[in-house]
Formats: sequence, C-alpha cells, structure tokens
Amino acid sequence: MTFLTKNAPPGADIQNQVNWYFGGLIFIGVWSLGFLFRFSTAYERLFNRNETSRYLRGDAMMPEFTDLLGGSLRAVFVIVLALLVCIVMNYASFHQGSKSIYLMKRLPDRWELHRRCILLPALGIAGSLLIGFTLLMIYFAIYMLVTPDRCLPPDQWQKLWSVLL
Amino acid sequence: MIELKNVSKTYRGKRALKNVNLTLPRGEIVGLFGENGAGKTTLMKCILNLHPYNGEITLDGEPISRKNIVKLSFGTSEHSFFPNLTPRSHKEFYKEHFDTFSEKRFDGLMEFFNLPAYRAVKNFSTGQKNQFEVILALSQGADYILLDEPFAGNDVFNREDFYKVLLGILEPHETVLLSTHLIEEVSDFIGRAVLIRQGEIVGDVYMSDLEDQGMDLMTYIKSAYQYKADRIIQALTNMTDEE
Repeated sequence: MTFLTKNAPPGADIQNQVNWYFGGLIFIGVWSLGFLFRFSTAYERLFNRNETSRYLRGDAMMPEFTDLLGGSLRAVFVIVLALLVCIVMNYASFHQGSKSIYLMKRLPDRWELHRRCILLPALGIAGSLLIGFTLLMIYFAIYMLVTPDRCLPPDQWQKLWSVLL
Repeated sequence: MIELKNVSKTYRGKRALKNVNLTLPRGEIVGLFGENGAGKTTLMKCILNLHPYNGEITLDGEPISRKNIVKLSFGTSEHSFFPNLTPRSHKEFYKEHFDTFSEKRFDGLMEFFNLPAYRAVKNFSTGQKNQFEVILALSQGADYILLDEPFAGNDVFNREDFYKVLLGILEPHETVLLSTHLIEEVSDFIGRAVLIRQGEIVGDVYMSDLEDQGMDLMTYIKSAYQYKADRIIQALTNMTDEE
C-alpha cells in the first residue's frame, strides 16, 4: 500500500481505484472469451459428422485468425482509455476542495506532481497492454496448435504482426 | 532578501502588476495592503513562480527555482493543503519533502489551536482550515513566509491569539509578508506596510517612521490611496436626488 499511496495524489482513495483496475482486467479476460467461442464454432464447422464419428471435410478451411479475433481484445483499449482519463483526473484533483496544486508546484522535487499523476495509470496501461498481448499470444497459439495443418490459411504469422503493428 | 525589479504581469488582458520594485529583507514582518483586485495575490504568486511575469525576482540573489524555493512557504485563503488528508498525514508529507520542516513548531501550534490530528482537513470548520493552512506555512521551515488573507473567516479572538503566537515563535531570520484587509488589527504586529493599488506600489513605509510622524497606519493608507472621505455622502446624495 505504501508504494501506491506514495505514487497517487495525496488523500486519493487508491484502494477503490485498484479495485476498479482489477475489475477492468477481469473485464478484459471475460470479453476476450468471445474469441474462444468463435474459434470453437469455426473448428466444429471443419468437420462433417455421421452417426458414430466426425471427419475433416475435404474443402475445410479455418477462417483467418484476425477474423476470429474480431474485437475480442477491444476491452484493453477501453481500459487504456479509462486510465488516460485517470491521469487527467489526477491532475484535476489538485484543484478540487483546495488549491493543493500550489503546494505541489513548490516542492523541491519537480517530478513529484507528475509522478503522482502519471506513474500508477502508466503502470496500469502497461499491465493492461501486457495482458492484452499475453491473451493474443495464447489465442494465437491455440489457433495454430488446434487447427489441423491443412486447414490453416497461409501467412498467419504475418497477419498476426499486422494486428500488433 | 527577496527582490522584485520592474515586475509586470498581464492577466486576461488586464495589467495586474505594473513595474513593481520591492525588496523584502530577512527578519521583517511586512503587511501588504490593497483593495480587492489590487494585485496582492498576483504579487505573491509571481514571487512563488506560480504565475509567469515580466521583470526579475530574486531570492537571496538567485532567481527563484526548485533549488531555492524551499526558502519560501505560502499560506492562502484558497488553501493549499490536501483536503482528504489528516494533519498527521500532512506532517509526514512535509517531513518527507522539506528537510527544514519543524515538527516541534507544527505540534506546538496544533496543540495551541486544539486542532484534531486524525481528522481529514476537509471536515474542519473554515476557521480551523485557515489555522491549519497557516500552521503548515509556519512549520515548513522557510525563511520567507507568504500569507495571503490567511484569517478570512476566523473570529477576532482567534486572530489576536494568532498574532501573539506568531510574534513569539518567529526566528530573527524569518520574514513574513502578510496580505490582509484587517489593517488596524495588524498595525501593532507588522514592522512595515506596503500599499498596492491597481498593480502599482503606492506606499511603502516602516511603522517606526509613521510613529515618528505621529501618524497611524489607517491615516497613512487613506492618504496614499487618495481616499475621498465625502464619497459616501456624494453617492447617497446622487442616489436620493437630494439637494
């Protein structure tokens, strides 16, 4: 808690903000499950079934990874946007209820004000992007490992880079 | 010494300070007087680098920067404390950031004003908030203490107590620049009076010089301000159409 309180605006309800942040991370995870739903549906369509078994269709082709991914990781950007708003709100907090901005601006450490406004949201943004990237890699690995080789569309790695860049 | 040379400040198209020249040596208690909007607060904020300005302001011969700004403290009626923090947490914050912070003075003043140490400052009364603001300014360990209308909302007993305590605790090297409307109340407490009108210094006098001239501060201020004593009668006459 000391790290958090030392890097947030003094008197901020940091525990509440942390709770919201972890809620946001759960939201990212739950929202991304849409990929698994679309992937499993597409995977099932690769097969024909008879009464006792299923077999791969001759013309079966998995949709592109990027098409299946769709907006599954869009929640990451919602959280990043919310954290950017947090930075603005942190600055605004020094004008609310008093003009503590006068004190912050005359502290010997010129970075104190900026650190308390930016650091935690920036770490939150980094954490959100990292989780988004990890999910992307996990889902891509699932896509590549589970999809039968002959059903894989070409150039999936290149298309993954296009998502990242 | 704080030295202002030809300091001017334009604020929203209006000239808030006009070529202000002023020196504040160490160890003085200076009253800064002027009507609302005269430029008292702007002057202090320029000294504190809170406003950009034209001209030159130096602190012990150096431009004011993060290196020497710890020599300045500021107590304002706008309040610069953190409303959600308790006095105890403020103490920790100040100790962390100001090496010169006087814990002894802080504790002594907190006890004197009987302020609760573990209640968020936002829950204080207006008078208590003002007291706490001034306590922080006095305890920071600054050589130059700028107080801008610090007693707005405090009762007269509180203020009188405060002047007495302030006179008792100030070290010889500490300078106080006190902006207030309570002219008569502080006249026994200050050593020098600076008058500002429409952004210009129109008077600067030592109280000892006034005493030598047999003049009180209010009379001096009225003469420097070119106060027209008959303006009330004139206004009433105009409004009531009396002959």
